[in-house]
This record gives sequence, C-alpha cells and structure tokens, in this order.
Amino acid sequence: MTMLRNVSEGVTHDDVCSIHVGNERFAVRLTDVFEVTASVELRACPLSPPHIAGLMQYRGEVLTTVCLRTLLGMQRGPGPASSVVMIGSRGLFALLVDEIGEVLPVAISSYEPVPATVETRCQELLSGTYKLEHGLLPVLDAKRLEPSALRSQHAPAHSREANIKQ
Amino acid sequence: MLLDHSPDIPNMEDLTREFLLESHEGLDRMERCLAELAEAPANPELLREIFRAVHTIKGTTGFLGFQRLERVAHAGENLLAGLRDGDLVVNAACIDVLLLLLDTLRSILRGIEQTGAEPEGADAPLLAQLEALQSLEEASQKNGASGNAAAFVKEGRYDGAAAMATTAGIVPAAIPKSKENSGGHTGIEEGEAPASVVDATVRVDVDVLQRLMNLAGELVLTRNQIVAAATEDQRIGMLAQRLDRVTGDMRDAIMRVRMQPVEQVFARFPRLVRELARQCGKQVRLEMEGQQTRLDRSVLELMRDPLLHAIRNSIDHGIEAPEMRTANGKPAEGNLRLRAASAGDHVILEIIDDGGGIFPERLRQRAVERGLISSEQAAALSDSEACNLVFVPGFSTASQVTNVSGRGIGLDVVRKNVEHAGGSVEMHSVPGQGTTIRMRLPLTLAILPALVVCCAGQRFALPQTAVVELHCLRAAEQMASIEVLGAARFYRLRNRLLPLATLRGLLRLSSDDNPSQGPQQASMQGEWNLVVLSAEGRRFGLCVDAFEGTEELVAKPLERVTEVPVFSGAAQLADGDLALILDVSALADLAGVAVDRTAVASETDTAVSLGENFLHVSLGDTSAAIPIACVEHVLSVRKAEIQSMDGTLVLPMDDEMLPLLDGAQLSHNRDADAFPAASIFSGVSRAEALHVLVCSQTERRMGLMVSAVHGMVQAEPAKLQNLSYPEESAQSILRLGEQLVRVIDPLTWQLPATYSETWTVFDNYLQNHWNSQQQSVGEITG
Repeated sequence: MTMLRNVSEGVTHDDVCSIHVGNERFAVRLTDVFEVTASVELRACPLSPPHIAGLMQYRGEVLTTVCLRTLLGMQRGPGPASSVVMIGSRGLFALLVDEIGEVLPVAISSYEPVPATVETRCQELLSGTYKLEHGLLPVLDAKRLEPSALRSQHAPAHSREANIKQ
Repeated sequence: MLLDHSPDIPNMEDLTREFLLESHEGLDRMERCLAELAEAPANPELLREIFRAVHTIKGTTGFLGFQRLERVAHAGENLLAGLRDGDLVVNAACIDVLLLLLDTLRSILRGIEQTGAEPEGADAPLLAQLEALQSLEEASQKNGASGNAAAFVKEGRYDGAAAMATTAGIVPAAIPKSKENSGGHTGIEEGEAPASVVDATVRVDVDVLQRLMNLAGELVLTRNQIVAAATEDQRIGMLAQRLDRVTGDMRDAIMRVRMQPVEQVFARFPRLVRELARQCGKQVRLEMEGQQTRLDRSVLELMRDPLLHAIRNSIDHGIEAPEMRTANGKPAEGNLRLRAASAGDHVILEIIDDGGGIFPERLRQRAVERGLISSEQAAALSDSEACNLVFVPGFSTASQVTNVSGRGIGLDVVRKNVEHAGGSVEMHSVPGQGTTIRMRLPLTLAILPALVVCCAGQRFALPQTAVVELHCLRAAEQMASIEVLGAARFYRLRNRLLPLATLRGLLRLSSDDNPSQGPQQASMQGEWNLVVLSAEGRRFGLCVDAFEGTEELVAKPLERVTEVPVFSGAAQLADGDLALILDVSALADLAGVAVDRTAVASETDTAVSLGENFLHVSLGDTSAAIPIACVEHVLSVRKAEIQSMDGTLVLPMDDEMLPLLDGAQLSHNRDADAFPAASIFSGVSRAEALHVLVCSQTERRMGLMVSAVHGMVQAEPAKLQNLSYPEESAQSILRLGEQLVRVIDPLTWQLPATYSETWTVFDNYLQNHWNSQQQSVGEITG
C-alpha cells in the first residue's frame, strides 16, 4: 500500500517512527502503527512465555503486550516504558519499548533487505533496513511481532538455537 | 498520533452486498409470512408483505443485471399479484409453490454471494408450476368455486395432513373477496399497508455495535475515576453522579440493542416441521409460544442448530405414526410445542411433544449395548438420569437410521452447543405421554456474571455458572477436613472427597510454590478460601487468597498466549482494574482432575479407565484397589460402635445409618464353599479400630470394612478373564510392582437381598421426594 501510494504520487520517502530499546534504535512503519502511548499500566499474564510483557487496557479492549527487550534477548528495562499500539492481522497489539523517538521521512531508495550476517534472533524480527547518513535504521516487521506469530515461531529460544546447530 | 483509515468509496460490489442483505431480509420476512399464511390464508397483510419482498428483488435485480433471478422473481410476482388482489386464493398447493420459489431465490442469492455471479440451474419446473397455478385459477373462476377446497380454507387450519392431501393434485379454490381487498387492483403503492415494524427499524453493523459497547465500557471506567476524584468539590460531585447514571443507562441500552426476539429463529420452524412430518409420514401440529422473548444475538445464533436437532428428534423419535396414535387413544395429529419464556436473567426454551415418550429401561439397555456404560452402572441410574443418556455422544435410540435423524449424532451436539452458550439442557419424559427438552440460556454472552477472586496480588474472575459453593476455612477446620492421600489433597465436603488445587500453584504465581504444597502454605496464613467448581462433570476445589465478590463483567477477547487455554478472556472490573477470566474446564485439565464417576449419568465421559486413582487396601489376607472416585472418605471406628441389625452390620452416623459390608467376605463371596468365610469384623476385638471406606453409588452410600489402608495408587487397570468362571465378565486387575491387585468397584457390588430391599425403600423415598420438589419448582416457574 505504502509503496503504491508513494510511487503513484511520485513520493520518494517512507514515514517511519523510530523507537529505542537499550542502546539500539529501530523503526516501525507508520502504516503499522495505530497509536503510541506514553505510560503503560500492565497486568501480568500468568503462564505466558517471557516475551509477553502482560496485558494492557486500551480503549475498551485488552491488548497483549510484547516486550521488545525480551525478544532481542535483553533484560527487562529498569525505567518506565512506552508502548506502540500496532495494527496486527488479528487486531491490535502493543509493543513495549524503552522510548519512542520521532516520525522520520526516510528515502525509499535507501531501503535494503536485512543483511544475512545480522544475528538470527534479530533477523527474524526485521523486514529490512534503511541506510541513513549516520548508521542504519533497521525496520521491525509488524507481522512477525504479533503475539500469534511469536507463539509458533519464537517459542523457547534455546530449542531454536539447537535446531540451527543441526 | 492517531491514524485514520478512511473507508472505501461505494462501488458495484458494495451495491451487490447491500442488495443481498436486503433480499435475504426480505426472504426471511417472506418465510415468516408464509408460515402465518398457512394459518390464516385470507390475510391480505401477509400477502402484501410477501409480494413486496419478491417485488423488491425483481426491481433491484434488473438494475444489477441478474437475469435468472429476475425471471424467477417476475413469475413469482405475477402469481403473488393475483393472490394479493384476491383474483386467486391461497391454498396448500399455492404455499408449497411459494416455498419452492423462496428456496430457488435463496439458492440463487447464495450463489451470487459466493461467486459474484448467478449459479446455473433449471427453473422451468418452478416457472411452469407458478403459471399452472395462475391459469388453473383463471379457469376455475370461470367454472365457479370448488366446494371442497373452500371448506378447507374456511377451516382456517393448515397442517401436514392437509398438505399431503392437497399437494397430490393442485386443487383450485376460490374464496369470496374481502371488502377491503376488492378495489385494490391498481398497483402496489396504492393498496400499501401501513408501515410495518420492519420499516421502523434501522440495520446496524454488528461491528459498530461492538465498538459502541467497547466505548461504553471505556466510559464506565472514566466515570469511575471521575467519581473517585470528584469527592471534594460538591458541584463536580453532582455532575459526576449524573455522569454515573447516564453512563450506566447507556450501557444497558446498548446491551438491549443486541437483543433479538426468538421469533427470528422460530420463523423457520413451521416449514421445517411440515416437511419433516411429511418425510416421516406423521401428522404434526406446531404451536409456538413466547416468540417475542428476547435473547442476545450471539446466543440466539448458537441456538439455531440445537433447536433444529431437538425438533427433528421430537418428530422422528417422539411423535408416533398416526395409526399408532389413534390405537393408543390419542388424536392422530401430534402436537409439538415450542415455548420461549423469560425467567429472570435466563431464557427457557422448551420443545414439548405429546409423543410416545422415553422408556428409561430402553435407554439403559441401549447405552449398555453401545458400550457407553456397564450394565451395573445402567442399573444404578435413576429414571431421570437414564433419560439424559440421550445427550451422550454416540447414543441413538431409533433402531433404524432414517433420513431425518438416528445416526447417533444430534442430541449430544445439542448439549455441546447449549453449554457453549453458557446454558444447560435436560430432558424429561413421561412414557406414553410425551417428552420435553428444556434449554436454559443466559440472556446474553456480553455480560458475564463472575466471582472475582484475588491471588498473589492479581485478580481473576470465575464464571458464576461454574461456581458451586464457597468455603472459608479457619486453621482448625482445615486440620479436620483436609485429607491427604499421597501427594494429592482432598477436602472432605459433606463426607465426600473433593480434589483440591491452588490457583497459585496452577498458574505458578509465585516461583517457590508447588501445587501440592498449597494447603500447607494456606494453613500458615491461618485462613483458607476455597471455591468449589464444576465444569463438564468435573468437580474440584480451588484455593485462592481471597474472595472479592461477584460482578457483572463485559468479557473481552484475549489473544491466546499460554500453552493451556486457561484464560477465556479478560474484563475490566468496576474499579478499572483488569481481571483475567479463568476457563474452569482448562483449570481442571491443568489440575489433572478426572471426571467424577458418581455423576456418570449426566456426563459424556465414560472413559474412566485411563490412569485412574485407586485406594489400595487390605481385605484380610488379600488386597484390593478401589476407584477413589467412589470413596467419599475413610473412617476409623471402634468395633463397639458398629451395631448389628438382623445380621446386617450398621454404623450409626449423624444423619443416617450406614450399612456395612465386610471386605473379606466380599473378596471371597464367590468361592464361599472353597474358603472358610473370613471376616474382618470378627477378626478384631471390641476395643480395636476398624477402617471403613464410605462409598457412594449415586444416591446410595455404604461402608466397606477393610483391615488396612495402604494409600493411593495411580494405575491403568488391565482386564483379566476369569478362567474358572468364564461366564463372568472380565475382572479389572491392577499391577502394583510385583503384586497383582483386584479392582473392586462399588458400582458393581452385588448386595445381599436385605440390602436391596432397604435400597428399594430408600430409592422410592428419594424418587418421591425428587418428584415433589420438581413439581413445586414447576409451579413456581410455570
């Protein structure tokens, strides 16, 4: 959709929103974002896998919240977190991040698929990366961040690594 | 930053969709009217309504270019115009053709819905029939009215028998034109009826409703916060109160929008009944009551199939063939009643027939033949329990598989669907007089009455339908009422053992917790809160930190993230906090609770042989295993407490006399000649203690004297054919290490004659008691 619109209108830039986790910076496409919320009140969900940060009330709905830090193999953050309400294929879900940056226009021409050398755990979550003047801006793939997609694919990290070794 | 996703502009597809929606609605209306028309053939209102439905389809379809649809609708319209204007007269044949027209239109619409284009099909026979009716009518008008048919119309009742008689040949009929109708020749617009109810309604997308509902929920939360924050300023306080009221009313009003009259589902049944009756060669009159009773849309949708199955069942199995009915002194025409009625926050749906009823004996026999239960289990069932065997999967009483039903599917699906909708279903029958299937349904699925409990600082909701009772135990009581068998703990509830689980343990709410340690931890806290839960026939006790009270929740769907689907959703509590709604059946799975065997009659699960829990006991010199589900509890009594009455040993208890069986005699009773009758009872001195297992057989209780209780074992019993007594059924044997242990099932005990008599008296008492209770309940609800 985005690509089509941009091409047809002769636009050369994508709109993305940058987010921060630990020392790393990622981007999510604005078309995948429903809303960003600053403070998050989370309720734990017992028996859920570690990458599920909990449940969040959002506009009369209850959203499953995915912790990006855990997905990337980091410790849960110490400070208050923000969340991005994402548009998933089965409805909304939330992504818990450290900080939400800004909306950036990035040149479509600078986009490129994920380099194969990127760490597997990270690679699975990315759709590609933009090459900016100062470093890269990797783009998170909303489809792979969905709780339902993570359930089947991201289950226990160690068993996955074992599979890779084989 | 809220992104707006604007809707697409309307296009041809949208128009078609709109047309389909409208046409389906029109046809539904037509069906309802046709059903009524059968009762009142001369009603001009109904004819106008039907005409309008077909006319609208014809009008729109020309614009959209569906030619087949247009052709069929046009032919139908011609006939209907004649009927509406009183040129033709409604008779059974006419209704049959109109129903065929309805079916054809529907199937074409369905085709368009699926493929976007009209499906192929031969309409020539229908068109010919439509025309034939018209021309016949014209001819008959020239020749004068036919007396017979007019008489039929005057009778004013339309039924299966008449349908069979009249469809054999198309009978032209005439009726004097009614006054109001005689002038209406000019066109639809002129003779139009005053706006019907349908015109006063607005169609709303269910998603929009859902969204409204969510917004209302959000508003309730905001209201709560404002009410809490507004206590200082008086003016704001007043405003907050008003907001409070308005918000509550709004939520109720939106809830009500979702309610729809059961009529919407009932409307299809007159026709269904007619056709089924014809297929089965029976005469059935359908009566419907309480069609305006309202139910939530989603519940109503879920009831469509169960009702259908139940009606099929009543016509096929319930109502007898006409000859048989007359032979039994009943009218040849069977009566089938569909009743809907509100009862507080529930709706009762009943399907009542005056057919042959159910013979409990036949059901027992059939259940045994099908291997669903053992003959001993069957014998232990009360008549009303036996009646409800029909809901067990794989059960069918019709000896022949018919087109309509009798493949052993159906009624189990009914129960499944009804329970899925949060309701319950039961069957009552009087042999020879008829059968009633009664469904009890919640008004809505949108509101869930729930018990809110607290555990490890988090709150959880348990659906009220699964909650049986609550117990708050102090330390002293706990010591007395908690039994420990191996790693498992049981609560002695009214002398029955209830398996226990802790919510902390099941949900791993604190890492140092282990499910089996729950009670000990709880006892340290000095107070123990226990919820007795029941789901799919499994009863167990769940320990929680605290009860918070009951609340009506609006359940929100939840993405499933856990291995076991233990949360069915989440809901906002009145104070705005979030509570996870627990799925009681999944909790039972998690806790490893097996089906309560004593409740086998009401339960589908008869496969109890998998990894059952047994109590390992000694009976004199042999040992035996007893299914734990049969054992209510273990007593230690002094021999002096046991009394003998006419050779029967009895243990006086608080409220009853418990008859006792000697375990040693039980294990040798068959070989009484070969072995001297050992006795545990006579083997102990008066001051010594005996172990008595209090066992239950549905309503019966008895004590089994054993010499020692070794503990609980979990094993899968194996079958062993008894070689010396090949005529006997295979015995169940457990292997415990090196030792083979016989399984004794209290349900199969052969009681001495004196016991049986006692039981008969007792049973009769229970039965009478039950009946009188049922009666008084019936009077209240009726």
